[in-house]
Amino acid sequence: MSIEPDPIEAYLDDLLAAARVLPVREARYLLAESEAHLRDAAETAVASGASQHEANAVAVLAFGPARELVGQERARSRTPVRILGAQAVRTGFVLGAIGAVAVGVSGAIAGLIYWIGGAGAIAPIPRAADLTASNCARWTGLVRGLDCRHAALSDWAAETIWYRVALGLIGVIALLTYRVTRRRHAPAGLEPVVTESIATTLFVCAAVTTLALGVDSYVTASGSGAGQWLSATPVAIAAAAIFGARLTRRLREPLVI
Amino acid sequence: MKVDRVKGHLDLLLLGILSAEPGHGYAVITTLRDRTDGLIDLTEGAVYPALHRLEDLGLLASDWHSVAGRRRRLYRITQSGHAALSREKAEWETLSAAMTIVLRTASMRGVPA
Repeated sequence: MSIEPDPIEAYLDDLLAAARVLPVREARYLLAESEAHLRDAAETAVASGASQHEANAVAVLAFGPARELVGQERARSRTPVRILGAQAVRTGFVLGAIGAVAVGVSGAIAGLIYWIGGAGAIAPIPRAADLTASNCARWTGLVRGLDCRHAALSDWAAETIWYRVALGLIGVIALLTYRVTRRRHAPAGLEPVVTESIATTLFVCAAVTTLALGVDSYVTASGSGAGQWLSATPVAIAAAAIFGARLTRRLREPLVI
Repeated sequence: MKVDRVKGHLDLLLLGILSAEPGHGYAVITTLRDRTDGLIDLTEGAVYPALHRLEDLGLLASDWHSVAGRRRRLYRITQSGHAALSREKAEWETLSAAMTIVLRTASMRGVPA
């Protein structure tokens, strides 16, 4: 002999399964409200003479399908385009600032390479076409005591280092400004899983690209200027690893309602 | 009455019922059914997304209470809700009066007496 399942319990099971697409608190509230409603409706039916099982079935039928209810709730709680745009701008700002800080750190590493290997390790050897009289006058004016070619190398290497460090400082200032000025109830950025996916992808692309360009410098130019690319590779790998680890941890978390 | 026709005015109906006194979802549904002698009989679950949307708009507010051992969410109308109700009610009365005038003078030829 089979025992018929209680209609309200079965309905609440369906509702719980369907409500996984909703924000956690909304799902929890919807479940609590629905159960209170169904029990009230069943009590009314029992008072009218129905059996408990019939009353529960009537209450469920009058309440409507669980998926339809969740669909209406989902449509209601969908993020408006205006909010989504604001979230995307905030995320873009923060990721841009983090990227700038990463560039700044690569500038510091480029400085270390410069200190060990000299300007030729950072900047590519100037082509003959670059060594015009006017350019040479400018470079030898900036870096005194060197011939045109070495002055150009030294100027380019210094630009690579200091422009990157300056961008890194701007990134730090941007992050601090964001942290200080962010209003408590202002909409946050995009969902963390989206932000971390974007960041991981971008930093992996940066790591692969800079590594490829660095290797290419060794293959085509005997390593001249390879440092400008390879100084960025470890920073990009580290950032990709940090965001990738956070993303993996988040994806492995169980979906809890 | 057709459900789709009622849904277009559900916000007005809910604000109207809750303007008298705060209530939870089931009480709102039963009040709606009782006051209309069963003419308006919605799918009961459909009321909750409507209540939640009105709360999102700031026209309703809600609190959780424990009544008779059951946890219930009690909705009440806000100042903005009262203002919206007055506005919607005036619009509805104007529309209703216009519809009544037109339909009263409509030809009933071909309809058996």
